[in-house]
Amino acid sequence: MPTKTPSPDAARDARPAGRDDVVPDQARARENRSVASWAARLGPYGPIIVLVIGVAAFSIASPQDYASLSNFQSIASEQAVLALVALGLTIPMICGQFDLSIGAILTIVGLVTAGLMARSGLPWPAAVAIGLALGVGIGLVNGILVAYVGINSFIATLGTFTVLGGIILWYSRGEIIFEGIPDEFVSLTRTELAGFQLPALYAVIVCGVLWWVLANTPFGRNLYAIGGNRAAAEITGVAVKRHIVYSLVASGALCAVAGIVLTSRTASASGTAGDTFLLPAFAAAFIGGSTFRRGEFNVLGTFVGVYLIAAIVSGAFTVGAASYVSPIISGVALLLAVAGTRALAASR
Amino acid sequence: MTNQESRSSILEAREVTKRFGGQLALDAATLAVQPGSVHALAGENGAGKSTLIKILAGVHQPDAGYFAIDGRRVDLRNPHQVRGFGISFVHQDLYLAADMSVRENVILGSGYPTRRGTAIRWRTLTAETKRLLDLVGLDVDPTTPVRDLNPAHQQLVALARAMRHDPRIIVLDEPTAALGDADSNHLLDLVQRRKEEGVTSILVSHRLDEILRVADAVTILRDGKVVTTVPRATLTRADLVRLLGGHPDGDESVRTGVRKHASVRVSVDGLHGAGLDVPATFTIGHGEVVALAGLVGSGRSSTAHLISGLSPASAGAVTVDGRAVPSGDLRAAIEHGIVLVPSERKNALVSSFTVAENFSLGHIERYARRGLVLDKQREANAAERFVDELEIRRRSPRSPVRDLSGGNQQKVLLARALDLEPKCLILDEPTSGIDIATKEYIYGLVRRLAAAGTGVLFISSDLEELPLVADRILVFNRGRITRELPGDASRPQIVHALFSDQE
Repeated sequence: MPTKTPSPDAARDARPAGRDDVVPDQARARENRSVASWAARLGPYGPIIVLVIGVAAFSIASPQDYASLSNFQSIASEQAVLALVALGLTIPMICGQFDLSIGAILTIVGLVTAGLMARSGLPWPAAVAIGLALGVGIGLVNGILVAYVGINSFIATLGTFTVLGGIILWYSRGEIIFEGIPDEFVSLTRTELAGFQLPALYAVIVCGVLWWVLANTPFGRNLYAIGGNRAAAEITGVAVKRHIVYSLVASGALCAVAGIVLTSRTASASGTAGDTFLLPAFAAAFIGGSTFRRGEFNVLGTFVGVYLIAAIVSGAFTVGAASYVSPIISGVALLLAVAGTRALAASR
Repeated sequence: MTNQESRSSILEAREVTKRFGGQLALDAATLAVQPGSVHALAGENGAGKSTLIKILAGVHQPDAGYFAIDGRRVDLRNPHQVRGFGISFVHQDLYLAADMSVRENVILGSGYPTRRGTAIRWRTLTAETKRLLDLVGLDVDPTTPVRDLNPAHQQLVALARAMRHDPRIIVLDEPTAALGDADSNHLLDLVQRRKEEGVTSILVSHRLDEILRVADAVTILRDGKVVTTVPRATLTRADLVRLLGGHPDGDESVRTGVRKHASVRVSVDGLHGAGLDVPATFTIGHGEVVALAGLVGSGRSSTAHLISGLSPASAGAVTVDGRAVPSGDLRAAIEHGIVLVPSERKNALVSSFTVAENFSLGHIERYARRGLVLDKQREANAAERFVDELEIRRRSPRSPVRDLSGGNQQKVLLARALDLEPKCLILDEPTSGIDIATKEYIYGLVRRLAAAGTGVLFISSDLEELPLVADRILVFNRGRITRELPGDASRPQIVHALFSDQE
């Protein structure tokens, strides 16, 4: 059975009509077409439009608290870690692979980096280097499990996620590491530039570099080809398995960066630090998938997704909403974005 | 509109119009199907046949116009409702669940027989499946997973499913596109047998022979419009070719005699692997076109996959210009000049990519500075050159290939292959399911490439086209090469070779 859903516009046209009103029928069709084509043209910018309208609405509702430079500076800085995680996640998503281990990688890299400095007394550059290597290593394991062992990425990264959870419990001993973290390490992220903390700048730079790499290198093009049609990539000789490994290594590395940044910002590391990043990162990536490139994951879209949710959640808080609205807003934004993408695809 | 014709016809399309985006896919299409007839729909890809079928199936809704059954207007809102009117479909994509059994596929979408709505009555289901399989002349175990059946048998399972509710009208969308001659004949026999029982069939087909053989009337579509509906009795093959936009006398003029080939370009020596029961040994000369004929599953495509490195060989050697090609390594084979254009377009194109992006797929590194930074301008220029040369039609350079017709998609695959400057070009069913004008273009292209020295391996199930391109024909049967025929072998000779060695 064909499963393609007809577009809402087409369904409206199907209403019964007399045999003589063929002409009005066509006129109505033309009207619907122009509405549809407008929707299709604006659709890829839907999340940006929502972002602009949302910011404007909350600014009017709360001109003192919300519409202040300091509020935007704090949103930008606070969301930088999530932005790094979500940008990392976007890379395997582009070639059709899930990475559920992103939160766990963030947590374990943060813990190990903090532990090496606080417990083992390593200088911070060495601790950071080891932390990054750990993220790359976990990404490599994920990549080999998915590409060469052939385990579905959802299951493979669920597996590493679970194993890492155990290691995190063992290494953290249920404690929060905060004593013995050197000031130079903390100042990596506490320094401000034009009122924005450095992590916000890191996120912008990472986003810009990734955007360029994905758009202008064979690597990026091949990732999109694999995500678009893996069989076609294979039959034309694209090194599909190697690219999948690279993509998961990249997400591991970026989650490691996020873990290090988070540890620096908070001057501490805990075994639960990464738990709150997994679902918002996926939400941001999916919102990004409905932005700019029609139905394709992309880093600029992900970036917009992160700040779309943050701006609206922050706005809800400034007008007095309780803390439980935050996940509700994230969830609704995710569902609307994905539903919108589907409707757009159907209206083609 | 309630004239004599409409009252006697079982199904009518009246001024059916459909747009996708800005594109007019169907422009006031009107046609009438007589009860108990076989009505063929023919036309180039993109002519609107599939759109018409999908509106009839309730998958798409028309922008204007409607269908009438028994002279009464009907609104076809969804596939379920359409079945209620006694219309069944075998779509081009068969919509079979590959991992499920034959009996589960036959029942798919129409409800399992159960004990008072709870447990499935498997025995009843098996019996019902056997009845339907008998109708289509298929003898397989109803519990076999569909994945294990060959394409011809899968087609019959889809047909069996369509027969389940004793339909008055069966719509078959290119049912023989993936089938060899014998399987096609079996299917067409079934269509005629149903006709004797009073069932009306609507047949979408690109194969002129089968249209001429089974159809009672033919409706020609072009650019979304119905050109004409002609009764079979007054139609000749030349008429049909002319109406479809081809050159009726082109077939005769194209061949300039079989060429002689002095030097060997590609040698295949004792090649053995999956899909071949007996090692294959043959050569392709400089500028020679070797056609591989045979039924689907006879080893033709397996041979292509082994030569092109898509699947690993267990024994044997392939050399190009005397250099040995490593087995099972697609990229190495491409480096040696062996390029495969696979049979399944949808498995070789990224539908969301543009023509240029699909064109460079697999060798994108060649359009990157030092292999690292894309030179999109150079890529676009190279792609445009092929777009002009192969006359690839698309709305804009930014259109995704999914918006292109099948023939134009095939040309994108050819452009990609030609850009690799193959010494040995392997074309697997390059004309399957594409329009006649593009087919003729491909024949011409193959001859030009051969004239320039390329060795071509041409795999086709369409016996009509083999003599148009081949210098030599290798006949495959059950995993082995059983015969070699000259390129100008007559059709009866080829058919004889295909079937005489079968038992």
